[in-house]
Amino acid sequence: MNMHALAVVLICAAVTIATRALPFVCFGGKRGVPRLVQSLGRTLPPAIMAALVVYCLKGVPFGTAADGMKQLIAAAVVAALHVWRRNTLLSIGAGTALYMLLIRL
Amino acid sequence: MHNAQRARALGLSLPVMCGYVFLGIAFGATLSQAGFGLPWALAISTLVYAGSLQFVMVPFLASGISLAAVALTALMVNARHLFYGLSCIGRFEHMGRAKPYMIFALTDETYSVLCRLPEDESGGVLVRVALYDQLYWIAGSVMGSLLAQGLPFDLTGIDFSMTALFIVICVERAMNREDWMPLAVGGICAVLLLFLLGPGAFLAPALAVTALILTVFDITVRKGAGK
Repeated sequence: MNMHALAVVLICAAVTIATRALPFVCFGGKRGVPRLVQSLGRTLPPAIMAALVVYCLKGVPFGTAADGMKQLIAAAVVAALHVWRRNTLLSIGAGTALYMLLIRL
Repeated sequence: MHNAQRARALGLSLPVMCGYVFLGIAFGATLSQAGFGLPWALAISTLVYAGSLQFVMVPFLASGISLAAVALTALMVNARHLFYGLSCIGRFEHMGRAKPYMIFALTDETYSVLCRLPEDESGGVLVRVALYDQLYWIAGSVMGSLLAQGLPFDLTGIDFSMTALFIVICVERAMNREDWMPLAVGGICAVLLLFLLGPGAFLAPALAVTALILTVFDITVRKGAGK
């Protein structure tokens, strides 16, 4: 049994439950939600998503130029496809297939 | 009555089914590529059940990363869940025994279905939507794990589906003008800290700085509005 991996899984499970339960613990019942928290509720989710895109592409400036280029091309195709067709499955499916193809060329 | 609720929940969760089965397959296959097979896919998709975090945590499983760093990254990647809960407090208040599960199962996708439903939607429908969504996710993860182990295909690169998912969410957010500022703040902070700290340890600090800037911005704007 891989104890480190097991610990990673359990910590991720515990943190996930904690983040989902905290608002109900803090603001449940009769207490109201402060305005700053309401406002962050609107602004944080898109900000975090943008940061996660950067996280996914973090290897681009540090790896080889050719490999970085493949990731950027596939990423651009996903974005363009999604702007054009707004079909989540198409954008993700076609982009991933393109990337898997590019790294085999 | 239960049949009607089942049918309604099934219809509501159908779009999530397409996404979750596909992404679940990508997750199971990615996990398998990293050397963690079916029992791991089953355990993680049942216990953790958080799409983005599950992809982010795959490299952690085999690395020597400290558990404190795992917890911090999990906290930041999941921070948006803090805000999903806020808008569901009233809705879950009267769900009785189902309430703990509703809170546990409040993923991005389930949240997006629930917040489109009318205020008086029955709890029976809500809990079925949440449950069906998780079953799709687990089924996809199991399929992905089995596919990666059983087929002679080389699935290298399947993990790009995570990048694609996040890009799709950003594009959808960018359709809304109000989200431009936070998208830019999050993206720019992440790029700056990536170059400053390197690819190994920039995400959690970048998210912390982002939260700080958005807080300061909100306070300043509210003062400017004379409140």
